[in-house]
Amino acid sequence: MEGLARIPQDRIAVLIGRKGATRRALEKATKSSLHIDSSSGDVSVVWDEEFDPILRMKLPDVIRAIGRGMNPERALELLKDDQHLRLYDMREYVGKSPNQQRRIRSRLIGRNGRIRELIEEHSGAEIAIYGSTVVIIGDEEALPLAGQAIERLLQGAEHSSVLKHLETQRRKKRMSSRNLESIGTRDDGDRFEVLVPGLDAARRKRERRYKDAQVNPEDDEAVEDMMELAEDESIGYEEE
Amino acid sequence: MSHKAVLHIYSSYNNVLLTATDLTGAETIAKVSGGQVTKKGSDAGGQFAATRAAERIADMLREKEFTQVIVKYRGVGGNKSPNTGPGAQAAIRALTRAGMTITRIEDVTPIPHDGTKKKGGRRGRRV
Repeated sequence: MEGLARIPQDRIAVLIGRKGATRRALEKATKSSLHIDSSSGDVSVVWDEEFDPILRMKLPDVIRAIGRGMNPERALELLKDDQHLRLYDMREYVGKSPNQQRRIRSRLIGRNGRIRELIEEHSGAEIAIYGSTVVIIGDEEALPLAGQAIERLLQGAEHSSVLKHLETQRRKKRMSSRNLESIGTRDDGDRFEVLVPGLDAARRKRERRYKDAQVNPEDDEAVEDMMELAEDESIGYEEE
Repeated sequence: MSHKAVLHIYSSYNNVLLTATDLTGAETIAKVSGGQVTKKGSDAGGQFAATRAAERIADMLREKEFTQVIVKYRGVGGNKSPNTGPGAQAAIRALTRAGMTITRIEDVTPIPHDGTKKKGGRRGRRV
């Protein structure tokens, strides 16, 4: 038996789920059996003989994420290889004062959840804010983006500058991914077009347009359609 | 009979350090870092670097006839972030794939029982 984490009283029900659904899913996914002490909130686990070391490493994270307000379905995704968790504690930044914690919490969430939504949208990570903690789940690209934004907000940076930074990061990422694709698909021969800037692209564009306008001779149906249209006397030249 | 080693994985956001020691932890058997296996400095803490480093340390261990390892992984910890970096998980995954048996796995991130003040002033780091 191995102790994992202690979760708050009101999250115990979420960890277990309706008629034990969440708990069962978790046990099935990790091949273990969970023991949840419903009076103290202590969660411990007994592992099967053959355990997956990665799952053993990640299960405490999943429990912690559910305990810190994350949606259990999303927390289960954490068991996948490319999903990671980060946890921030507001108390480290503003101290124990409840008023200060409230202030920071409001800053992170924003009016009607606007700031949280924007961070999630720009980075692709998922954020849960519960009590004095912030939990983020995302892949290797999303986590640093969202994590940095949240860290800066916790440290007292202005909303506008954080969001602006996120937006430029996203634009940069999109640009770089586009660049990679274009490099990957181009086949450079020693043709004349390659030497003149822009000519190659123009030629390809023309070829594509020409190809789209023509009927594929292999496709019988399309050929028949075209022939029918050509024989139809009622269609005038202008219409065609 | 194969020997058992302790593999310490230190995974921050910027690098991954793998150190294999004997069971006492005092004698280092092999060590590899993320920076040794990548060219770009900013990649050293990533999953790819961790995978490569783990493969390399698995080779080194096998050469010295170690096939069982106890894994102790940690993040930065202390008064900094207690989260482990992305490298730890990738390294462990690569390690099992390289044929090492992991007998035990443990998180040894240093957790302060109230230590020193976190860096950064009242208004935070200003970029």
